[in-house]
Amino acid sequence: MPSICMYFEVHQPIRLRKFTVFSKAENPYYDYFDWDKNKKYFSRIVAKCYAPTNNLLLSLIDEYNIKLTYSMSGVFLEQSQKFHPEVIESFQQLVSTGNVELLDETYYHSLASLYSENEFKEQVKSHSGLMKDLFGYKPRIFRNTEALYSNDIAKTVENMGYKGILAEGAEKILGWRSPNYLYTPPNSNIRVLLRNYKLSDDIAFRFSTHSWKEHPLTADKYASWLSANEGQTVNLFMDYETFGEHQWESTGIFEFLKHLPSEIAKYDNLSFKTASETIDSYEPVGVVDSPYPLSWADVDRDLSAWLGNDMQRDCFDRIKRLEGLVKENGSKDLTHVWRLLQTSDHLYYLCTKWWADGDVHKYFNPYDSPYDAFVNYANILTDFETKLKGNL
Amino acid sequence: MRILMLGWEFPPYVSGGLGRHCYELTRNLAANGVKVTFFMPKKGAHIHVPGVEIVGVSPKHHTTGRHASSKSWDIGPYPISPYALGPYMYSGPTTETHKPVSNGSGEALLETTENYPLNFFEAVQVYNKSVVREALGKKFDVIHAHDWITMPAAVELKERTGKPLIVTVHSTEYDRTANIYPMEWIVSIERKGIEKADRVIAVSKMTKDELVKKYGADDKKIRVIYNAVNPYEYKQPPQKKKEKMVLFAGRLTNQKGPVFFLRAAKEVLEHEKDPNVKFVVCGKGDLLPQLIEEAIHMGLTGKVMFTGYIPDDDLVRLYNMADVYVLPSVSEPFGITVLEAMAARTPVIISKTSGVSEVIKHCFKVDFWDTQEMANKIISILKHNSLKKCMTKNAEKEADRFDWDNVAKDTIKVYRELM
Repeated sequence: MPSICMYFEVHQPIRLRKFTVFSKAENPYYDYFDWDKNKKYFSRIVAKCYAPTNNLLLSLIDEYNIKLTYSMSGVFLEQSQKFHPEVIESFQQLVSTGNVELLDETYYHSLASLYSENEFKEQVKSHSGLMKDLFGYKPRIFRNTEALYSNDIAKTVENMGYKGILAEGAEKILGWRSPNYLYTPPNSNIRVLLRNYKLSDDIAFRFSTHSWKEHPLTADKYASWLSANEGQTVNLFMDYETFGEHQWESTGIFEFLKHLPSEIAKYDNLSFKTASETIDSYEPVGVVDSPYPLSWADVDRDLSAWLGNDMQRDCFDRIKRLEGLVKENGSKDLTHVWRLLQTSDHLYYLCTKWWADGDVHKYFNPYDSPYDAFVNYANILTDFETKLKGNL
Repeated sequence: MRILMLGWEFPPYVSGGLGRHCYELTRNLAANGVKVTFFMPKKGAHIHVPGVEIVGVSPKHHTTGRHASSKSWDIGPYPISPYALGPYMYSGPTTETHKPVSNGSGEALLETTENYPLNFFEAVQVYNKSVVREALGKKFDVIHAHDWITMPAAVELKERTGKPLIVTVHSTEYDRTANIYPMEWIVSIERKGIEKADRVIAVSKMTKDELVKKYGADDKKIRVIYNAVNPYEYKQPPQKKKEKMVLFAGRLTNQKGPVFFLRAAKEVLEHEKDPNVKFVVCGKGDLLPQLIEEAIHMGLTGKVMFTGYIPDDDLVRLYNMADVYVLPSVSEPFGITVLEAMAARTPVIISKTSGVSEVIKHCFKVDFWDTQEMANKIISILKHNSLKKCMTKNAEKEADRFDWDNVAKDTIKVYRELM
């Protein structure tokens, strides 16, 4: 009798401005980030994804009493406030139904958990502050950027008071076991919710793949797959942008979503639960040991999408090294800029694995190549470092 | 399968894109069991390619010009290249002495000679007549011609034998002149050859599109086959050096955009306070005096070096010494040097108006006129070892995929379409 835990990650990076070795910033916040472009992208995705999906889910909650779980990055909410405040209102409406749970993450959608516990905690604190301000909500469960997870991260998150954490249901930690159960790390008691990546990616990646033998995926077929599952919970975790952006409206993704609750309702053994309801309803059945960081990215499910090549590691190291200078400066604005530069997408655009082969990462990249992305990012880091030093 | 192939250059004497292509193509065709008879304008060609019959055509007996009896009338291995035609390079006898010259990649250039008796137009006519005369005695199934200079002979042979004709276009007159004063008589030879051909092989989509647009070619008979590289010929162990180096290699003509290289150099040198970098312009061509003057005007003295002609071995050394290779071509049908630099583990910055940019990803692509962006990318490569390491690691693998054996196999497919 598995319940279904549907979780959506809502995130939009704040993209960088074109910055050459000849560029100089007067005001980093305005000069490093391309606000016109960000507004354009954001408006487009509001129209394609956030507005229609929120409306659809509101009506589905109303009709079928489904339960949903979200986390929204701070950089997403910051842009909503700037460009489309009505999107925040729409999420507030969703939260006020009582059927929606919000999770915490790092405000900046960063990789801070990999290098500084201190910095990580501060970014999570900023995020929970935002949850309180905008939604009057105090999250109990945590989802790290790109589902980055390790024993150490789990322990840190537990110490911060969270009762549960989301992670990838990777074979690396599960072995022969099913992701459809609660687990704990070896070193702490926090509940680990593992993504059923097969069923999640059927929607998130394969939905519109014509060469997939199950294409087209219909709600009744998918509900029958869900019903055939054993275990406590089927965790369907995916980017919210799956609806309307990764999978365009023309693929039929909204029709699929619209009919899913009624199809699921046909099975007595299926029900919806939020992440908190899930961890409150079941006992963990075992231990998952993850000494090395896992993520939910691509087939490698590790850090290689962000730190896989020399350029990525170089930039990441430079960002880390700036921590001291930023702290010394003590400027709130420059600290904010430094953290905005930590958004994992900036490193992701530098990823070269599979890039030459074409698709695999079905992901919007604003640069012509990872090398162009590197040059732009590196130039900004150089300018920022000069600025920080000049300010002292 | 017997192929009659008409060419113009062949290594080691000459090896621009066309010469290198013909050499590797015939070699790999032979390895794939195809019998090739290769015609080139050289008396008693002594180049040996296993499995390939090479016929050096001497036009001596058949000349019609006023100086037909002149002793020096011998096209020989060097004197005329279809690529070096500046507006004033073959307008008549000059006082310069005739000597073999080559650009950076070893390509021979036309240099007029004191005794040079015929104008270029006549020379081409004579060559083509000789080819027809000698080729009619050969057995073949398909005629395959490379670029405009052999097209008249190829067309005539097709008409007289009824055999199918394939024409490979390595560059058009519009490319070679960078659209500045294209020679109408050459364009008309190209147009006729492309029209009469049963199949046209273009070295890139860019060239294919140009053939359709500017020559009215039927796109259904055009096949795109990209060039390739023998990577192992370009690899040398890394060497320690005190100074960074940015390299240009190619004919010094408007087509290749050397002036944009100089402008980018100026931007780099102005930006870097303590520039520990030299810019090397490798190759020869009619723009050389102008470029030297320009470099002086820009204040680049001591920072830019002009090598003039260098042999292939030295070019390989330069590829390996370079920290960046730049191809700023205004119009580059393919750009084999880019694959060569990539094989030598050197990061490349290439013009978007190049055929090679259609098929490689691990590089920077810039507009040839955007010298500030070019400088932005040059400085970034010089500064960030991580970028250089990452790009060259991937680019080296990428270059490996361009294999002459595949070029030969794809060409055989085109032959089969006609047999």
